[in-house]
Amino acid sequence: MQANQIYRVESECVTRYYVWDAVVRVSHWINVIAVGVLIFTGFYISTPFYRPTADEPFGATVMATMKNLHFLFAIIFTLNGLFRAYWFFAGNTYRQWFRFHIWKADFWKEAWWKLKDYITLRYTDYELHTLGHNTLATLTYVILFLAASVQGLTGFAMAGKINPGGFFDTLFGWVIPLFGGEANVRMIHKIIMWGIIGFMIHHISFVIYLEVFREKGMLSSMITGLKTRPFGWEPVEKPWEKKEK
Amino acid sequence: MQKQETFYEAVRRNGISRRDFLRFCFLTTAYLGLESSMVSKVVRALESKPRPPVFWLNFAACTCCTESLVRSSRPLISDVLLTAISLDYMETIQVAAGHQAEEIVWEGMKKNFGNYILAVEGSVPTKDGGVYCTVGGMTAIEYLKKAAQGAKAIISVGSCSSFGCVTTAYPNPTGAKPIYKIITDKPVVNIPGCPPIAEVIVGTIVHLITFDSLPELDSLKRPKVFYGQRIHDKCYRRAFFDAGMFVEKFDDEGARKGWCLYKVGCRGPVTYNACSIVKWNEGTSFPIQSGHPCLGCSEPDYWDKTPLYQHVADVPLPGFATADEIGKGFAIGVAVATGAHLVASIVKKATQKAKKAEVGEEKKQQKEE
Repeated sequence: MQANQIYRVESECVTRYYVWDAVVRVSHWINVIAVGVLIFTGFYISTPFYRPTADEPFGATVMATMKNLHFLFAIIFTLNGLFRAYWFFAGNTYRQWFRFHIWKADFWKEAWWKLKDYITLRYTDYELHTLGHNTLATLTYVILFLAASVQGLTGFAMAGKINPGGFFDTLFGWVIPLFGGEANVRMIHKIIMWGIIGFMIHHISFVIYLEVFREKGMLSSMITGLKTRPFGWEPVEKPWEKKEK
Repeated sequence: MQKQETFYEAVRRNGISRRDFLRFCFLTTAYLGLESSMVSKVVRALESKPRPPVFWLNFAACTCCTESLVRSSRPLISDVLLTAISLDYMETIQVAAGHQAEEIVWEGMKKNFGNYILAVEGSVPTKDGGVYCTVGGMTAIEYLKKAAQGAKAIISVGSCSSFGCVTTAYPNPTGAKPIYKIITDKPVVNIPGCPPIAEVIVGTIVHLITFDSLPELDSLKRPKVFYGQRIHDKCYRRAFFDAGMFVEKFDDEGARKGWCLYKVGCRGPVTYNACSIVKWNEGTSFPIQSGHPCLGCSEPDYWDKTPLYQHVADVPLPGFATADEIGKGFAIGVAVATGAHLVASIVKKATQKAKKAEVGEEKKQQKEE
């Protein structure tokens, strides 16, 4: 399969584009499961809301199980994230790495234009590459990736201290003094978790909206890989420049 | 110049038997985390090396570190301990006072230039030229800088001198700073704790005497032997934590049964110290054992991590809220904004459709006309 080829299926009233390849889809759903488990177990570790009915500590291992699950899914999430980072470069034509030019004025012009476009409720379709992500979305996902990386660093640093001098401590131990003690590391881990929850609220409600009301196939594209545009739709190059004229 | 007596000679002069001396060596070796083959090295060093004099300086602090030190009962009883490290100057327990005492310091430091160990208790106020703490007519900064010139090593005893404790807490009106921020050209060991455990102070000093070098330090300049592990990971209540059995509030059933104090704000999981191993007062107890959550007193800026009875402190932003409150606020904000946006989008589309339909009907009517 050639990386930069565009696959298109036309039917009577819509055009479908093959956007998300299997790797992206599978890794997305792994992320969904991992983040779900991480948030649930993380909440328990932070505020244990369930107490076993045992009178003695032996036999019950609620917190220990939660911590182990948290750690296990953190590793799954990280490995998945690392592979996904590689796929930024190796994926199909809708990978956005080579468009992530934050040093160029056009990048910010497009992001600003797109933000206004969203706020004024227009949801314009323009260039072909935005079938994957537009610039604003790319920026958001890069920030999300950085947030997840900080979660990984702080989390593994705290987990590593169970065995000082061990594998995780050697790799991530430097994070704790960086934030001035483990109490601050915990706080940051928590705050970023809430940031990710905020992203999820927006993300989920928007894909549902775009699927149901705008018929862009946002939700189903994560299962089928196909995104929808109206029949006879033509891409528009740099709409933010035309507007200025 | 008369030969300085060794640690062993001093101990024997004070009527301690060789058996007790060896016991001290064994215990100290174990505390330092060294293997048993190192015992002979410790014994040899303490027998042959002259005792390096220790000068103990008090600056902006509450003297709790001194109190802790003089209560050291393991490895040896306190008076022997003081002999062991040749404590030449310590304001709290010395006999001399005033000019006499100050003379002893500077004379002693001159005589042992480059060889003495400086133990500093308390942080150093730096604001307004350092006038908020003066000793013998000198400000604390001048005093410290002068005393540090000939020191072999500096031991910051207690949280005040290690990281800044109550003296450097917000808003820090005296501009107090920990020692390692002022003395940068000498080896500094931090022994945080409010107060630190006496055995930890002594252990570090003995390591300095025995091996003529600092113990292995972590990135916050703390001896790894004592500060390498969390209190939580060696806590005897850990089984209750892993089981999920927590004290919900003080004096409930769990508290009486000695369950985990995590939910009433124990900072054991984020605090690096040896409390749960070495314990306090002849190994009698430590805060968690007596039913009180750990306050994390050996962590940097622990006074500013308020409230103390909360295992994750409030976010230090104006308005002080917990991370959860801020996070919930953010998540609700996102939800409201997204919801409003979506509703507006749906309404707009619906009205557009209605308009189109109207326009279509008008056109139809026009055509008909």
